[in-house]
Amino acid sequence: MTVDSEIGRLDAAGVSVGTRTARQWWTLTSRGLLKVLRNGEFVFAFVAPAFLAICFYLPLRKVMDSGGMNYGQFLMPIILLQAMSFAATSAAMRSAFDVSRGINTRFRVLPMPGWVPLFARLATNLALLVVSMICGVVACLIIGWRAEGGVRGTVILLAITLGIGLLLALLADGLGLIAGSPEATSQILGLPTMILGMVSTGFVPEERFPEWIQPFARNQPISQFVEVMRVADSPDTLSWSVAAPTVYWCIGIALIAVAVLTAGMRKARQR
Amino acid sequence: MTEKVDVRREEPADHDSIRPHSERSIGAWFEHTRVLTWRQVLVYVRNVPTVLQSLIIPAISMVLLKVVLGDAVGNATGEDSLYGTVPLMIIIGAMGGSMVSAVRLNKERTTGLLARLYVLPIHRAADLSSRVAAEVVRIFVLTLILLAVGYAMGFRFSQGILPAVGLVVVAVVFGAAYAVFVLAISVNAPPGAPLVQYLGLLMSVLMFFNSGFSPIDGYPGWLQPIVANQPMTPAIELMRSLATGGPITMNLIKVAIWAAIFVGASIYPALVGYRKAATSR
Repeated sequence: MTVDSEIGRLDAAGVSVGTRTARQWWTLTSRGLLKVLRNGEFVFAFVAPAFLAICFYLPLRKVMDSGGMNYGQFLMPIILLQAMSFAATSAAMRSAFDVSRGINTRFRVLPMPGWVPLFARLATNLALLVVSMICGVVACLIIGWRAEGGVRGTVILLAITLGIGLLLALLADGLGLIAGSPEATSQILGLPTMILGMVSTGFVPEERFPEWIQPFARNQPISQFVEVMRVADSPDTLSWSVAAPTVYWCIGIALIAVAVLTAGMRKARQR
Repeated sequence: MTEKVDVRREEPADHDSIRPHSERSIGAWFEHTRVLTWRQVLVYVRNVPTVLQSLIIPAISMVLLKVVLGDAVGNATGEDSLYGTVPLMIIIGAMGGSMVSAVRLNKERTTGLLARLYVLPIHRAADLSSRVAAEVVRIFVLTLILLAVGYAMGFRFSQGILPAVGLVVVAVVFGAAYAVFVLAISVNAPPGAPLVQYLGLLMSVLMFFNSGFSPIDGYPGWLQPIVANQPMTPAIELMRSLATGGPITMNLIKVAIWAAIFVGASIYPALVGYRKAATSR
């Protein structure tokens, strides 16, 4: 019995199991980061939000400013959210590639806990999300956004952004596991992202939508996220009544993400 | 028994009567283009996801653009924004779809299909022209579908039937000229080059900076001359005029110039690049 437990804690090279697992996690994380670097995704992380900011700001500024709004300030939340969703989409692509190229199957035969690849992907995604967020902020500064919520408001704003990004990345990671083929993944994610992003109050204020679609535009998750981020970015204090829908949407996304990830992991075990 | 042998003997003679001209003649070019165009159309139609993507995405984008920006842009210009949005999405759809054709050409080079066509007695330009012809067919269908969706949202032809036909012709001519350009790039690009990404990026830039997306005087002053003269804006303005009335001559000339530039600058590199792509191993 004592011998058994001794073997359980030490592997052949005499390294304790905890250290070994941490090393495995770090190895896989750096593999993911290298892949992100080689794919040019860090470059894309800046190009994508900057591109979006310029393509909406330059053509529409005068059309929108007639209502007395500062369009650069107005666009800020949706640009950050789009930066997060780009990062999440690439997370889905990476996890789908891991499935379709069989690397997950190879990981399974190694003496490694099953959750290590998942947490390695999560760490990679977190790094990409942070870079994307910084790039998004720079893009917004270029088109004239200035932090108006003070230090506290700005920290809350960035924390919300990162939190939403992390949830989206988890969900996308799970979808990538299930979908299998990278092409299918990008198609599954592309259309809903486009529709939800466009028909939100991120680009256009609610009262400028046709009346029949205003309730949808107001209540869908992206618009709620945008609303919370705008309040955090203003001198106003963030009240529970503003934040509540976002909290509920986030809990919902988290539950779906857990369900999808569980299904994805189960599918991986059955292969 | 003897009869069967006779039939087989007659076959070569029959063949010659079907194809009396050399593979370099205009007649052969026309005939071979027709056959290969049918092949291109079949290959395209049988790939259902691609068909849906190249037809439905422009239609959805058109509806979204109208719903999201329609009121804001309409209030700023005093005109229904549909007359900019519908031409914009027709042009975008025409341009976007030609990337599918470019990727296919690039792939067929790797699989050796180009080389196989090249060793057959087929007119040298027939494969390329059949690809453009297939694009014309696709753009024609796409234009009709988008016009139908536009009609459902309130797009009307107030100028009568002839300008309406003219609008479709503008879309097809512009799209075909752009397709020649894309094919020229595609045959000269190394196999597996990230064509879609680069062309897609170019197209996205053009998509936001034209008069169909936002009125020209909404853009910053320094940008306005570029926006007004980039290839898509004249085509969109011409189509707008053909639907609702307005000046035609100037934009017609600009569209003609852009189409001539696309075709003129591409046709020689396309033919040379095609020969290289088909013969290099």
